[in-house]
Amino acid sequence: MRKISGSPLTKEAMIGFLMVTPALAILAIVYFYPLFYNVDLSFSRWPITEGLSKYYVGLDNYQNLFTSGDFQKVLGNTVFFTVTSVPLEFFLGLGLALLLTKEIKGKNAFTTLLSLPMIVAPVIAALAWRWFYQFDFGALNYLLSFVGVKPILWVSDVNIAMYSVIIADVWTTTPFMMLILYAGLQMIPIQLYEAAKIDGASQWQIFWHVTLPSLRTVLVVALMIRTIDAFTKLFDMVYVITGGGPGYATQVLPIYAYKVGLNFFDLGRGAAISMITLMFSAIMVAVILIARSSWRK
Amino acid sequence: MVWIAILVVIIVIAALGAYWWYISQPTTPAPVSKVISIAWTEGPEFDFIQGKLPQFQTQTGITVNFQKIPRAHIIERLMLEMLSPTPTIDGTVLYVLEAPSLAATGGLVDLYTYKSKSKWISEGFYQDQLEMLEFNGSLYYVPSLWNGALILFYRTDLFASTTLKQAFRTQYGEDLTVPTTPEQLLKVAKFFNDQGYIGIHLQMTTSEMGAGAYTFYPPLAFYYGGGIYNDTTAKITCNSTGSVQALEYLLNLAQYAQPTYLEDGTFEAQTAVMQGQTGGKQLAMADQWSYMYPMLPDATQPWNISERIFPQQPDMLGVAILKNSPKKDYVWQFVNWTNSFEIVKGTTLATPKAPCRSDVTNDPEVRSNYWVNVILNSYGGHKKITPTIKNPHATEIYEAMMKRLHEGFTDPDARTNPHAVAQRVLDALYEDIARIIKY
Repeated sequence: MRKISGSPLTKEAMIGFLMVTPALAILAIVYFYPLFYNVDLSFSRWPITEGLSKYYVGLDNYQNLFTSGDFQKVLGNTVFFTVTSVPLEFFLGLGLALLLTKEIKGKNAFTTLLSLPMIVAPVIAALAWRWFYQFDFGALNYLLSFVGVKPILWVSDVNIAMYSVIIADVWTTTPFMMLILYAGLQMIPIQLYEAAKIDGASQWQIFWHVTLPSLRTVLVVALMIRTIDAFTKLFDMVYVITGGGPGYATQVLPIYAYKVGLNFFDLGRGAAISMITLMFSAIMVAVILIARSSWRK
Repeated sequence: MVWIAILVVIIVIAALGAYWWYISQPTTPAPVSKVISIAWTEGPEFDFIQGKLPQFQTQTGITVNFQKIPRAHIIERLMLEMLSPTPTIDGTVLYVLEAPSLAATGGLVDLYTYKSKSKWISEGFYQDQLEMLEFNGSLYYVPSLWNGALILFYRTDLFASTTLKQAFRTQYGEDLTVPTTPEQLLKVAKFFNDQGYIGIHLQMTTSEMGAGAYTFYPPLAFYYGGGIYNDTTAKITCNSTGSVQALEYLLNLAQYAQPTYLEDGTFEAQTAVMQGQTGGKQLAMADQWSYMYPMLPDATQPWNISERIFPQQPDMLGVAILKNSPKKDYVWQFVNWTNSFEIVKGTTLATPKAPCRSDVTNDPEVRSNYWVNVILNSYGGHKKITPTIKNPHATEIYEAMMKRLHEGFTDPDARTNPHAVAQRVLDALYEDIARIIKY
């Protein structure tokens, strides 16, 4: 590699750097600028509904949030949703992906059917679930009535509503997990399985010592994507099915940030909620990465 | 290769610089066109106005473009418009709950600058309705749209039933009649509930602002001499004796409502009334919006309407003018037209709803409708319209109220000890409001 005189970079590196500069410039405008603006906003108060200008309040917005019972409830809901739905999606997705590796009749049709929830727009899926859960006319209560179950308040009972949202979300996102893990399974060399069989390994031992370690990278990526999604982007499902209710039972951080920022017009506090969401999802991703590296050792 | 890359970067930077220079050049102001853009929403009244629009356009030469936005999201869009030096919206429909936030920004035009209060009143506008929308002596819109009233729907066959009448007389020693006071309503709802009916259909969701529990608790608190928050005295009144009594009453009444009273939206309510039943049980009464009245002939059971038992909150929507619009005078012409006798009459008959003008009320065609008196007596007549909180934090205060009401309705002790539950959740609401106001 030739180095450009007086520069620590090679010629190829310099070309590469220059090539990506326009894209970086656009990213800086559309991604980093809003991010830094949000950070700045989270340390300020901007009472636009009182016709006042923005001023800095230090950590007041954060302090206000962490001492607020509402915020603690919302944060708890979001964490609960994430730690419940992501593992469910993972195990269901893994199970289905493993099933797809078997030679079964009509596999392609089966794969297509299983992938359908992912193809449906989230808002449409959420609307369908809302009707499915409807107390009087919903299909779910109707079906349950055949086995003698009395109608259930799927979305207006504080003790049930969150589980209803989780079920809908799991239905929508499991295909993503399934497809990504299925792709990972396809990449495992067949020789590894053959060698394991020759060594007399049981099905469970093959899964535990061959399949799972080989899937490690794909698995971490899939878990990271879904964790970030579940924590930071859970909006449409909750907004359409329960609107965050009943009470605050299904209120989650993205909806709360929207509500505080764009319904109460407390832009500073809304920005602080977004920053906290970002920090928490970063922590969750860090935990997954640390777990992955300790697994590697 | 390096030179090509450098060239690409230079071209991109130069193009961005040129664009920046272009947009920052002062431009000669273009003559204000007679095309106005109004944030609009959907509904029978909006359809009526749209149908009449060619008439307005021919008369004034002003072209009106409607930007249809779901009503609940108009305020988000408006806030951005108000911050923009070059707004794309000149006027907007505005709801009473959102008005304090927008009024406080100073971004709306005071309609009293175009027409004095006395002139509005002399033209026939109801003074109490105008005052409901005044903020610090300014008026930003007139309730020519919506103004729907909540009224009592009751089953005529059940109230006429000899068996039920006899049972009521045996139980209470008096005649079974359509209730007119909260106490009577509670008694009659309980009676029907005991007889195997749903005593009253309540739409008391706590997740929909402007509907549900919002339409019950504040007016009932007002009725019992309590309140939520007093803007004039800056006093939090949500846990006063009257307010606690109001919630206690609602907790009691809810026992005789359908099990989904915290969930049902307008669709479910409409279906229940039309079918005369919900959850497999016959329905005796319903607290519902006036727009349902024209549907009653198609209902499977016989219904009639009467005055709402308790007062109600204003359900007022109208067209406001954005201060940063260069076409304010054109929008004013549109606003004035939407408030004209002909349009208010048309929108009143289209729904039906409470007219905002007395001349429309007295119009023979409007007056000939049975519902006019029922609606007007429920909405400003016998029952005064309950004032809303006129504070920039009103939305957040109402949101906190809805959350605490939900806690009350779902409290395990709500049926056995409603007073204690009401006191507890309203004390918590007091703390919420204190925090909101302080922050």
